[in-house]
Amino acid sequence: MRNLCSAHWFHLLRHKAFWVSVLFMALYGGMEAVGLYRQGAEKLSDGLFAGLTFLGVVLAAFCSLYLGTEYQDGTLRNKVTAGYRREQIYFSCLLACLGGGLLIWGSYLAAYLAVGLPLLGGKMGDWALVGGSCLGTLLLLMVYVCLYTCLVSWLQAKATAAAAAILLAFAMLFGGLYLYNRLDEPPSYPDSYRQENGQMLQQPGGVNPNYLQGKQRVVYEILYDLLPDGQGMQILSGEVASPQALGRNAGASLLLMGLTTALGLGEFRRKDLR
Amino acid sequence: MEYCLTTEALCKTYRQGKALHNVTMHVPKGAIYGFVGKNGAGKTTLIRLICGLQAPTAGGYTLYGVRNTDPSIHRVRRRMGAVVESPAIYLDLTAEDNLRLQARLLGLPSEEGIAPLLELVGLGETGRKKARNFSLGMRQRLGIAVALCGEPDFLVLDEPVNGLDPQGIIEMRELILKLNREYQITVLLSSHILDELARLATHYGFLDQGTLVREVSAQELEAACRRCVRLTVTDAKTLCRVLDGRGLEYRLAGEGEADVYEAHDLSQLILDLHQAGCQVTGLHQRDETLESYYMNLVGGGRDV
Repeated sequence: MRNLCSAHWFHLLRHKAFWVSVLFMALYGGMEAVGLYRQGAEKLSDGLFAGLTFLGVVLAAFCSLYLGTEYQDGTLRNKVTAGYRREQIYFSCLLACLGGGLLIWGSYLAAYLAVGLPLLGGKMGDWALVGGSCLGTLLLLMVYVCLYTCLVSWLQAKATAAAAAILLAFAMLFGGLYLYNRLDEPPSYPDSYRQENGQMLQQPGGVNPNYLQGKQRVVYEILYDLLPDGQGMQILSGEVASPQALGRNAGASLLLMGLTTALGLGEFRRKDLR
Repeated sequence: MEYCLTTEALCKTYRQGKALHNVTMHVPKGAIYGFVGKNGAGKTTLIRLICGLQAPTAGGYTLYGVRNTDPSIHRVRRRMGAVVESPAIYLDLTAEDNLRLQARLLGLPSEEGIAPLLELVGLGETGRKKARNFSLGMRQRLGIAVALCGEPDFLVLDEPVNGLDPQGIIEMRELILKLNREYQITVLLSSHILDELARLATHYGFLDQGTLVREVSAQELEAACRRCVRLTVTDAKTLCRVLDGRGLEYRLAGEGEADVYEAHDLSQLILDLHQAGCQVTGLHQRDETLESYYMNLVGGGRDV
């Protein structure tokens, strides 16, 4: 297993998709820090996790291109012929993508801190929130990697896997945004005032018809917890400070990781390799 | 005889149909085993099975005495190197980096053997050129170098001369012969260039529509392919008496037919037969090559 991981690392550090991803996230991190400074932000922690917005898409591209190379160029065959079992090969691919993902995320943080510290200073917000967000981010990253590794094991063709992974990433991103907006609808609208013909007219508030309640709200909340980008939205909107929220987040992440790994490994073990 | 690989009633069925059916073959240690068959005969399928890329539907195989169902088959497989269908190389890496990666994969203690290996396959001067910029022949050779990285005892090559120019074919042949003779590596290679195989193989397996039709050694094949004259006569007993009297080697081929070897003086032979009361009704020379042997075996069109 150690040799497999070593071989993966050797290739990973020479893979274009990896370095493009690192560069992209580093640029994003630097730009985020500059953007916050221009807006007058006061806390360094305000943009610490902003990179999550695109992390899913970047990991989709990276994982599918990196692993797709293994399938398409046939180098996976070398691992099988060298005597490694299918489980070892699958988990080594997973670990390689996880390591790559951590470095990609790290490039965002490094660039954000490198630019943000001189501009915004070192003031951080609620440390409980920051800590919860760090843990949540780590789990989210692992979920993304497990999901895309599973997807590539099913699709195998590099171009198809990359297209499917990126489309899925965007679908999840928009899905997360949609769920966040729907769950964030207030239960009622307050009274409001408008001016007409020189007179102030009151418009009474009322019940918000878009407000989710009852079973519908429960379903939306479950989807919000389960969808990786829903978890990302929770981190971005500062909802993971409490142990309960963090616990829900972690539970959902572990469930997704287990499910996707089982599906991916099952398919990989069964599949006839060409 | 010690065998490196044996298969027992090996079968593989896909959704589209049967690719292999009851294939039982034996690859002796130290041999160059040539696998002959048409496109779609099942050569690559068999190679995929023994390399562990796919599981057999039925039957099994034994690699260095270890069954494919034995958990230790993974360890034994490290004694193998293979190039299956197309060379499995990283196109975005150089030749040297491909070998360094393979060395890491195999857990080799040092990278000292990489430069000599590149020289062996003729890629010593490629420098920083990425594999995607290699010609097909260079990629094939790199694929073989990757397969040789772990100093295997058993090398499996799936149509290694595919797409090579004549110079490349010669170089590939010389490399395979060198590996077999100098390094005692057993080689299993599939090919449909029979002429090339005839110059290499010490054993042959003829595959047709997923079935192993025949397995012969090169000596057996040579004996079967010797130049002879086929005589068709009216009296086979008289023919045998005359041939025995002249000390000629022959083989009865059927009712009133015999293949006579080294029959230099045909005119005198026919005269002797006539005087003995045996008439020659047919005569033709047979000069069997591997190609004609194969065509007689499996029948069908000229293209293998």
